[in-house]
Amino acid sequence: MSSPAIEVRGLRKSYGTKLALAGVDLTVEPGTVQGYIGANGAGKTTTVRILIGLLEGFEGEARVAGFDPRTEQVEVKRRIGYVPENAALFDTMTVAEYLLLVGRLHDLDDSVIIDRCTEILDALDLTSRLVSRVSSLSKGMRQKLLFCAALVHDPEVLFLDEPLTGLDVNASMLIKELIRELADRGRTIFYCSHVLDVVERVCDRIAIVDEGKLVAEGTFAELVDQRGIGSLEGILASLTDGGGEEDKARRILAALSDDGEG
Amino acid sequence: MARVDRRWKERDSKSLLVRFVLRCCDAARPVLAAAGVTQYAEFRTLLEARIRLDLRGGEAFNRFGLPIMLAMIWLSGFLPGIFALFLDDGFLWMSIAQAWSMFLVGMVLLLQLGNILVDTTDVHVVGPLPVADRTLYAARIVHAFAYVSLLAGCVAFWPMLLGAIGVSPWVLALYPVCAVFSTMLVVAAVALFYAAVLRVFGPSRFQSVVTWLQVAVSALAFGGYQVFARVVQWREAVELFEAHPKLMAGLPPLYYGALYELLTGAFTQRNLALGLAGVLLPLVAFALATQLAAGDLVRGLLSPAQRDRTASRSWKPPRSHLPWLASFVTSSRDERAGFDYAISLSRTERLYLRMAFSQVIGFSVMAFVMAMMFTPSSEGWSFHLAPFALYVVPLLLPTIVEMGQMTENPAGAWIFEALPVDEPERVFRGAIKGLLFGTAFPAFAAICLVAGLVSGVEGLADLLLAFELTAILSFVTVRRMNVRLPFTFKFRHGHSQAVNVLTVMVIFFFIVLAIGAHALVRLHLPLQLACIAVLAVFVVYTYRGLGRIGCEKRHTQYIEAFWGPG
Repeated sequence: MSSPAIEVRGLRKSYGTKLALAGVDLTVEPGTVQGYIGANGAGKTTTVRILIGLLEGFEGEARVAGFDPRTEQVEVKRRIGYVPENAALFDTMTVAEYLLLVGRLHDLDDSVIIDRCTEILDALDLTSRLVSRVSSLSKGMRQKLLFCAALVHDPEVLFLDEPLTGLDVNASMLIKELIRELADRGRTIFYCSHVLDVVERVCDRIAIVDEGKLVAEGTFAELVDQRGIGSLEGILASLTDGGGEEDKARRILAALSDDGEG
Repeated sequence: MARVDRRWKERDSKSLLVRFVLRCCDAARPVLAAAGVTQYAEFRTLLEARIRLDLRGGEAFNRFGLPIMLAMIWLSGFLPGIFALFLDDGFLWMSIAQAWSMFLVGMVLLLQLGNILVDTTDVHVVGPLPVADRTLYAARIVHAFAYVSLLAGCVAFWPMLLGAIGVSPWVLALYPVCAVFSTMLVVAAVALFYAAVLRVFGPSRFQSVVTWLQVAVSALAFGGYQVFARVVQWREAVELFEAHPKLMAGLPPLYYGALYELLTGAFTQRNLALGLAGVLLPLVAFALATQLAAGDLVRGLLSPAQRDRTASRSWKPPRSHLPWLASFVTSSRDERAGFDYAISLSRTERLYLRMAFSQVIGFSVMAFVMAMMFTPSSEGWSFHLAPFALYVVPLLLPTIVEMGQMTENPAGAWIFEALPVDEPERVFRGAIKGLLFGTAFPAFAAICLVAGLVSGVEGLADLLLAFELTAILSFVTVRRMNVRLPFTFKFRHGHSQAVNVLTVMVIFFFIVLAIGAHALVRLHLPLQLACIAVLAVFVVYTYRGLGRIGCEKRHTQYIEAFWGPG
């Protein structure tokens, strides 16, 4: 039996006095698309940043592709791809230069980088922007570029944090299809998102995190059975202090209609 | 072999600078490996990318700033050079020349280029990639070294020329050798300092500690230099070193005096020990710095600059900064909003704290020391001259206003496009006033207080005159400089704004002129009093000029550049 692609035991992390993660346990098997959802500030990005070796000062055990992100960061980073929520790119580089930089830092030959990226960019309809500076790209194009950079070294584990933000319909469909294909080829995808219908359709398993704790984990069907609610949105609301939106909306409108002209 | 698509060809790949730096690194590969840089290919890729990015100018920012700075530094080399015509002791002259070079390089590295070492702008890009922290840090150190080597090269011109005439023709060949090692030592020492901070305070506190240490070091450097220059008794110091030669090990510039002697064939025990230290210490410091940075650099750079404060359950509107001053200097709600926003960010913006605030503190400390050092016992000086320290303030303003535009994260700028502000220049004026009154004014007030206490009632007329001239120069500086909305322009290394260079030079000329005029006018009290009365009108006039600053195009240009076409 192969070892888990991601394994987390008792993960705890605080920022000053604020507890971001309060003991998360999670195991993700290879070839799984693992959804990781929760409200804003629930601890999703903190989890991802710990797993990809960007955050220190946490308690508990974590292993990604068999390596410890606390002490074996470079080994972890060799085996992962990461598409962050906010595109961090070198604005004055061209698309080609950026991809060459990323590929070379992954120790790939230029010919391999060019071959792989040509295909990916073509599929993402970004080939025409190869010599454009990153600063001239729209948000969606930047997101496509991040995807290309995350895939160029064919990572074992792909971390996606709101990956579809800004993408057009065709690109979104392509990415969703790509995620499924990658999983079928044994790659593991850790998928953080607020777009629940996509999570519902794309992910094999879904973990729900609330206030730093894992409150549910399983396939969508298992979660439906456990909670007796037919939608992921409803399940999430029932587990994370959600609900009562109508009342909240009324309160907002009441506040707006107060005499606020000063 | 298949032809590679031309679009994959990198721009600037044939740049002379890039190739030269990489060739040097290739030659020094064993040294880099000994220092722990095992990922040499990755190191090379990172370094190449960093230098290439520096070579690219934006539309609004360009590379004129660097040549102008180099030209000024080139001129400054004349000072140690001229010593060569009076000193025939090669050891002493080379030590003085290298001390000057090291001082300039150190100050530039600390105040202008220090951010190269602890830059956070690229760490979000490089952080998730498989690059060891020591590789990343080594690339940054070599990148910083490439920059300051240019400066050291400019300083070297006059010492080499005049040294060859006054000391020995060997200077032409040996000065560059000494300069390379002395520059390496400065860069490696600063890098080691940051790495030690990272190790001692840990990644989570790294950013906040570094920010405040930079401020403190700047204060120490400027203030300490003033105290040192006035307190040290040179003759006694020389006698002390002659009596205890081991103390020379504590003065790094002497290493290079000894190295020069050693290379000219003077194989004394002193020269051998100091010369070897001059060669080996930079390498040891470099290796130590990369080792200390291992494992924690990226995490340290990604740590927040300020600790999160615990959120209160009961929310209250934030208290306005300097409320009495704000209501006095702002004339509308829009101006007030700009004022509060600029003051608030000037207290938290990492770049501003490091590169502007640190200079404000440093120059203020220098001004305090200058004010307090004008004592009656100093020959030819009078304590009445203490108010002259006030002229430090307009010197600071170009840095305050220019750095006040910069930010690592300009995303907040959109709000000024999105909000229904009828007259955006009001917000702009308020923000500029926020920088002026929030950063320069406290320094101005503190120096005034110190100068006033030192000079007493007898210096009151001088204080008033300096106060008025300083205020006029400050208001005119802010009015004349072409700047954008504070904290909305993305910072990039090595790109100074050229549009203000001429303005700043003219302003500096007027500062010198004002000091000269003040020195003349103070000789005749009635004339001085008349000037104070007349200048009071100009203070009011120039202050009102702040209300006429326009900004119609400035921030919209930025918005287009930042958000792109999509």
